[in-house]
Amino acid sequence: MLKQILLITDGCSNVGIQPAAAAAEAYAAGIMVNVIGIIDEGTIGQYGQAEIEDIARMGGGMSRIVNARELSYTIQMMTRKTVMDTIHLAVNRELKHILQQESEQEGANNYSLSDLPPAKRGEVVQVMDQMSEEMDLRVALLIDASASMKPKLAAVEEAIRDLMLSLKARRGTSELAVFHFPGSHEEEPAVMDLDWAADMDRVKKLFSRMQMRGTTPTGPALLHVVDYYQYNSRNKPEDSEVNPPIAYKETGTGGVWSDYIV
Amino acid sequence: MTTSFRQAKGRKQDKRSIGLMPGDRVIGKWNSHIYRIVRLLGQGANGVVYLVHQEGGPHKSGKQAGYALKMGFETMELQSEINALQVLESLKVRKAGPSFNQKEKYFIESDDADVNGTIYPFYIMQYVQGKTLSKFLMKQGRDWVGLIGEKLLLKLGYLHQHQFVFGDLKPDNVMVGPYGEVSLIDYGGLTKEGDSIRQFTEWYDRGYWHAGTRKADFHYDLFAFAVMFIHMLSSGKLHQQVASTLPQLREREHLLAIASQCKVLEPYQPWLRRAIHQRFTSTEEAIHEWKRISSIWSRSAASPTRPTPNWLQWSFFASALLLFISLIFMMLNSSPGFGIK
Ligand SMILES: Nc1ncnc2c1ncn2[C@@H]1O[C@H](COP(=O)(O)OP(=O)(O)OP(=O)(O)O)[C@@H](O)[C@H]1O
Repeated sequence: MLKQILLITDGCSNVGIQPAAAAAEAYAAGIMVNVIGIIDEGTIGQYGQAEIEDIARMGGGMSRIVNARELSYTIQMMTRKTVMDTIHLAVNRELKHILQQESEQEGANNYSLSDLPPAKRGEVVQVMDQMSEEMDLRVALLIDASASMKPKLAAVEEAIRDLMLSLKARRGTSELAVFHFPGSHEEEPAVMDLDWAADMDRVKKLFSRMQMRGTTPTGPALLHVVDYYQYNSRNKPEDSEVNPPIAYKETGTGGVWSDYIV
Repeated sequence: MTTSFRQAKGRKQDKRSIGLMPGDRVIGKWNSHIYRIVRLLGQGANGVVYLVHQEGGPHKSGKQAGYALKMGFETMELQSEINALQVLESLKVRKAGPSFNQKEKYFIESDDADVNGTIYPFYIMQYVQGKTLSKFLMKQGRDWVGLIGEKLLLKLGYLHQHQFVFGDLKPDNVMVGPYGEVSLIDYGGLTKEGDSIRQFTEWYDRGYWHAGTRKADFHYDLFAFAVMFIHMLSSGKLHQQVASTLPQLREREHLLAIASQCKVLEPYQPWLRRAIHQRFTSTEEAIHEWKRISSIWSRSAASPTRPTPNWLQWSFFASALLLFISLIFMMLNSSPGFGIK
């Protein structure tokens, strides 16, 4: 199961643990963190930009700063990239195996597709494509709901619905959860708007329990979602362990391939 | 494959360049074949396409055969496209469809090349001569809608017959040759029926219009086909519609409303309605129905015979206006202190 947190914000955090530290914790727990800085006009400020980049770097993900119109596209591009990166990671081991057989050379550790002769890439990519179609994945969206975000929430909701539409077309199961922050009081850094769901058709309005408060506890909110992933998420036992980002069957000789290639 | 989402034209895209110039040589790292760049054909999100000649390659009566070379930024993405082309090659062996052409070769070879110190993957495919669909209809006039539409539907029908969906159908991906032959290019969206659409462009995507899922079925292509014709023939009204509607309120009736204001599409209204509401039972039925309408229409007196003068006048007016606006912009930009930042 691939786990991702997607943070959408338009400013800087101002209370609690540093968001980059929280992101590092998420990553250590096998959850990738991607960040989107959303702007109307102008910029997000130097400080905000640096923070966004830090969170993504520590969270093993990527960051982008975009306007509301590009939100849908960006969210899906990031999710796709996260999926593909994870598959690359899993496939790399197999590539190493193939390539070492080929060249008889030991030593190098980081193989990529382009080390394979073009004629052999097709098969590998076909497997990767299939994995990305079938992989189970979970995306928790964490939305900054500070006052300045209010006019952008409609776009955020539309983008989330669009993401759901793309994900649910896949053969693998995809589940989304949505949180916003801050919560209504100090002890509640984030509020859940949608529990793990594979469909949003019946969800009328996503952000209804909105309370606009002054603080932006990005770090604590991230940790809140990490905890939710680990303990509250319809406890499948294997979910609470630290898994490699993708679980694939190790069937003796072939590893990944044996599931797909005869 | 997780869907890859493209934004409609006019928006900022991650377009990168490679910087190959006419006359430059691309040397395959693995196969050692040499290709000489003739000119740039086009640039997309995944790569850059050039017209090339193969050095020492096959000659056709003294004249060298042209190929299209697509150089990509990402080996995995490019290979995914190559796989799609190879699937098409394998279909040819299996069975010839109605619009099937023996000489058509989708894929020739793939390799890597060093361009100014960077290794890029590339592949060689057949060079498709012609204009993109929108340019063709602009130039040749709307009399061609029926025939071109039919040929395109046959192409789609061929894919559907083999349980594939084209996916990323848009005017840029449809080429019309000098003899009115229709070809699809950019098979990056080719998807097995039942999988998630691999690649789409928002405007032509039924999900974008809140009209259905992104699971590949033949309706998906027919929907995009309908949007494409409505868009091309409604002179920018779709732009206005999209710009003036809140995203969450966008719906298929908007498409049909625009279609109903468009004279050329008048006879095709019922067809478009069925495509957009996904009421065709098969692509064959859609083809049959399209043919029926277009043959009645092209024989009726109501059919416009020349590119409508009215329309020409308008486009002349539009280009004059554009020129005027660009002149103003140039002036603004060249006078310091006045420039728009
Ligand atoms: N076989 C071909 N023959 C002639 N021209 C071609 C061919 N393939 C591509 N082109 C030209 O190159 C352009 C870009 O190619 P293509 O659509 O494959 O790239 P892409 O990166 O997938 O682009 P997009 O982002 O538009 O989907 C096309 O719009 C077309 O004009």
